[in-house]
Amino acid sequence: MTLALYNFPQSTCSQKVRLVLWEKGLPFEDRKVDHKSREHLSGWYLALNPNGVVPTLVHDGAAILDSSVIMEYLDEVFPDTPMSMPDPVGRAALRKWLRYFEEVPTPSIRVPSFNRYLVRRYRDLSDEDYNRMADNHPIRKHFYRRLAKKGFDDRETAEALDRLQQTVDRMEKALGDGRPWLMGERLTVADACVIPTIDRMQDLGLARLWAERPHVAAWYDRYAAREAFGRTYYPGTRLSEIFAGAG
Amino acid sequence: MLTLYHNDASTCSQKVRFTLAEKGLDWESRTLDLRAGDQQTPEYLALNPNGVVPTLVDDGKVIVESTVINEYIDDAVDPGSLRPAGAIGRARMRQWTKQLDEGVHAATGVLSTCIAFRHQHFAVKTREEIEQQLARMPDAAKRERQTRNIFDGVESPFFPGALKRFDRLVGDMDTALESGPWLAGDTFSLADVAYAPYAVRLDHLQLGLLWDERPHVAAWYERIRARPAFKTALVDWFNPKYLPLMAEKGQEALPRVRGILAGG
Repeated sequence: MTLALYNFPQSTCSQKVRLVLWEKGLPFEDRKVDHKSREHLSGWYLALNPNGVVPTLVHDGAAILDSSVIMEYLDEVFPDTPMSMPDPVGRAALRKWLRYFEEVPTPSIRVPSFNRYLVRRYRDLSDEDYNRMADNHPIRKHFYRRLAKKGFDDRETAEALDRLQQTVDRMEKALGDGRPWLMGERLTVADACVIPTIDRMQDLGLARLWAERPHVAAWYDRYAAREAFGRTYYPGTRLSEIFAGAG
Repeated sequence: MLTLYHNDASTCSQKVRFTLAEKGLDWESRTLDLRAGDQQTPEYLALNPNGVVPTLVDDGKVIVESTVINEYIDDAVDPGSLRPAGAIGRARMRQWTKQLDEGVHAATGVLSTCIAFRHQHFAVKTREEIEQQLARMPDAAKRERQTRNIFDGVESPFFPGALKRFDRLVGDMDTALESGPWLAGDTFSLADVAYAPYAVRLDHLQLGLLWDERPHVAAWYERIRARPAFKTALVDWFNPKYLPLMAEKGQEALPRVRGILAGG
């Protein structure tokens, strides 16, 4: 059994999968892809993952794409320390969370991430070089084109923050009955799916979005105390660390 | 321990948050919903009898008026880092900050109401309810202005004056910025901090055309926006309900705006 995870330290979707691998105690080869040199757009990586994004799991030669798919795959193939629900209704409810997190907070967190830090990488490129870089991304081309070197405009930024607040509010409501995890007593891939976004919000200085949401605050502290969290968030996985000191 | 009572969109609140961020100070946030009248509660009026935001409380000491608060904060740590070193530089800075309280801030309210915020009244109140609310305003001149601004929008008789005031202001800023990168000269100061929220408000109301032909102001605005403190203090607090409203209604108002600026 060989598991290899192609990933970036700082990628929220990579962190989701690392959390599950560590929670389940699964040894894996941590194949760090180099973002700065755009290794994720290189020929060999695109052969593995035509979307040019991370993470990609390779298990005994088979490439598994998409972080939620990877998480559910791992839970199916390695059922010890289960992180899903035992019954179809429970799994349907869990997948409702996964679909919501994929559609709403995961894309929204890119906006403040790019505005705050990642736009610095592109500031000094000529327009031509920037556009060429954008066009090299199989599924993010239009995203980069809209970002257009300067970052997102204020309206898009405000709307992204609104969607992140909605995510926090929904979680607060679900956790309101005092349950430790989103699906109840069991830590599941639903929690793993969203905590990197919450952690990124904290790193971007947006923790105030849950300043008055005590259940979400407690859930975050609870998860952060777990060994899998410490293993996932080793030094160099936060944007504030990667971009420290840069103008 | 610093506590700031403030509102997300209020320009005077933005000024103070910007200063706190530039100075790297931690502070406790207490937001007020101005549309809901939080600033008129007895508890808040006990702190700030003017019933406006922001108010800073520093270990029990209450400071009001954003221009005053900003200088207070600048003294708190690394004193004077946001004020020019010499007397003439400080005088220049204060000429700018004083100007805001002498008509510019009021003109901002006129533009914002006429173009965008008037629609928020109509969304939740009948004409009668709006009239009843206006009737309760004690100051007759203010009441008349607010009535015309809400009901007539960009056709209000007060709209052209407010717009032209800003046109003149942006021209004055452009002239000052010919001599240096910042309003008071070579160094970034509380003058730049104070004017940033007004530039942002104009931008959101689609009035950035005021600096289409004022390249120094355009460049100054980009420099302001590039500062990390701008992001944490202003961008992160933008109200997601107001921005689409200001953008859409601002676009609608442009023909009237262009007409007034062209001499109509």
